[in-house]
Amino acid sequence: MKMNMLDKKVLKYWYLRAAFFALSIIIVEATVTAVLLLGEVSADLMAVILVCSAVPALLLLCFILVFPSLRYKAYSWGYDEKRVIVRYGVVFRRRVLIPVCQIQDLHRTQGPIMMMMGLSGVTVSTAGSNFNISTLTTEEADRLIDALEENLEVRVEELKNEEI
Amino acid sequence: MKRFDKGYIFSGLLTDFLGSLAAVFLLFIDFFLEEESTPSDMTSVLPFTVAVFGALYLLLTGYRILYYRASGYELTDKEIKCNRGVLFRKRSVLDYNRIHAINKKQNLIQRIFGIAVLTVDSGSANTSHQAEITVIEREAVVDSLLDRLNSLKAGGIEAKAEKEKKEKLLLSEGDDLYSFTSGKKVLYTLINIISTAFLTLTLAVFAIAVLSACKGVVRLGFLGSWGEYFIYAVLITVGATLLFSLFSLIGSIIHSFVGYYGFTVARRDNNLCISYGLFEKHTNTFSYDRIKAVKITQGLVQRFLGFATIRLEVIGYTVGGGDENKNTGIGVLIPFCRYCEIGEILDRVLPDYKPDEKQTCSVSLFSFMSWFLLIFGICAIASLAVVVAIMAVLRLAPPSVILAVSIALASLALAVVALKFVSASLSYRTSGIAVEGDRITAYSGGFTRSITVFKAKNLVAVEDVTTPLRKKRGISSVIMHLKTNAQSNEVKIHIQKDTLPDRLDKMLTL
Repeated sequence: MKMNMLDKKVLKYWYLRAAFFALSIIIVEATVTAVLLLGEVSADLMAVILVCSAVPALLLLCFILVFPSLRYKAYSWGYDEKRVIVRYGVVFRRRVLIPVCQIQDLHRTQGPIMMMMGLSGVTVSTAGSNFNISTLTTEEADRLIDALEENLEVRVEELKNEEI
Repeated sequence: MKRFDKGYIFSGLLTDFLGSLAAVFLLFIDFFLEEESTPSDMTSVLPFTVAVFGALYLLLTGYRILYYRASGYELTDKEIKCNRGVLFRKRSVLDYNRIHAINKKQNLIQRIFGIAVLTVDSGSANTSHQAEITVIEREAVVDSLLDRLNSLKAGGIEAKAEKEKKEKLLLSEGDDLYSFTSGKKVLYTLINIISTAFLTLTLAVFAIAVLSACKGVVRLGFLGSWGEYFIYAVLITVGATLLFSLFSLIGSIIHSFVGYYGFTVARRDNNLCISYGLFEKHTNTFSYDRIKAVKITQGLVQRFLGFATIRLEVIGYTVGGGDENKNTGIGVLIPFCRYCEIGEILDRVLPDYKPDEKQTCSVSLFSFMSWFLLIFGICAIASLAVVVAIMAVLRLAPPSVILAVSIALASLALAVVALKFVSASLSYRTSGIAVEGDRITAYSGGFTRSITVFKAKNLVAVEDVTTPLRKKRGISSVIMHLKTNAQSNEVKIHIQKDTLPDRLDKMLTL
């Protein structure tokens, strides 16, 4: 089965999201510093609080800025007539296999930024769990949904014949 | 459309009376128990209490009457229809051949008035959109409805009234193979008490060890001399163990003697029928093909003593939902049996779901702990460093206290690591999987062992998880997603050889 990488646009979108997140962390950190400076806090206590909050914040910042590219490299997806496979995860490498005949419904979701960038997320629902194929381009998502729908019908017919 | 039985209103009058009384009591209990309130205060507040009670009672009764007027059910050729609801009118239509589970429920008050509640479930995976039918009728009517629906859902053609009932008792109180007799109930209660006592004792021993470590360093007077300290520690431990055991005893007695009163498992044609309960009587009926998995669980103490509980995952039953009209609480097939009897019991009740011996074994013990050690280690060291730094910088305490706090935190962390080690080695021994024909048996769990048996057709997805390092050594964990509407529809088997997912893949995409 051919495994597809995600589109380059997806990486841009993930970076944009990471940037928003990073900005919110910086704002929180700046607010904490401002409050400490304005209030009459002893220098010792201020140093402790600043170190305790700044170190994790900096680590988190580095992490969210590096994470999208790592995630992008590890992500791949593919499908054929019988199954859908998604590989993802940076530290824990996950590989999910969903048989086409178990698919119950397919969803396409878009947020405002995703809409602007022409991206879509696809959720594959089964009778037990839901699986996300996070962020494809909208054309890819539509093609995937159409193909899976078609494969599902063919597969259901095949299985009916087998049972008889 | 036929209305529900009038008994619903009568039983409602009594239930609401008791309910309102309880609500008013809870609302005003503080006032009446207060020492400062004088008798004249009480008489002046009494009319107010009565008014609140009256208003509440009227409101509830009004709701019952409106509910009764809005309710109704009808059996047509192909489907069962049901209307109910006051503020939100609910109209459900359910095809006979889509019925997943039929449940009869009766609480004490409903039994006094001779009525019963019948719920019929479509078993949709999305429980919030279930086409659900509720019928409140006289008990005899409910029984006949239950029989009629059972025959309707099986063939789609209504069977004749004289049809011979093929009811075969599989397991019951009087059965020689399995019976949840008083003796077994006592044993079940005892095991619950032992579990509680064991847990309390373990916690107490940890606490005493940590406190002793501190006491050795800080020579503060509040813990007394060593002799006093140990006497008090032992007394508190014994007290706590007795207290918790008492709670456990009460809980277990209610659970086993009242909840599982008259526990029977019977077969009606192609249906399995489980009934139980003293005050609230339940009869759950569902067909064999709605069973998605059989789960055998063993707590730590149960495991040592060789006992187990067998549960069922059935589509159409939600686990622990809040809605009283939903089919909740099913799941127990055998409340309590010897572990070695499981094969024999399942052979009679569900031969297709007999667990197989596991065919794989875990590869590395360290993998079970590595992530925990890494994350917990970082967190523990970081928090220790922060606490010590704050105390030292701000000069909050003398060095001996700081040392004591560090020792206490470190020993607590060590205790947690030791506990995790025990759990990991139990998981290491337990984890495994067996694939036999179209049947999959998964062994998982640490302190609590669970064995899940299910058919390949009920497997909706397979996920395997590994890290780059583990991949090099050819090991991974397998998560199997089952087709049930239980929230925990995942079975995770840890750290197996990498070839396993391939076999499961093949089964899935046959």
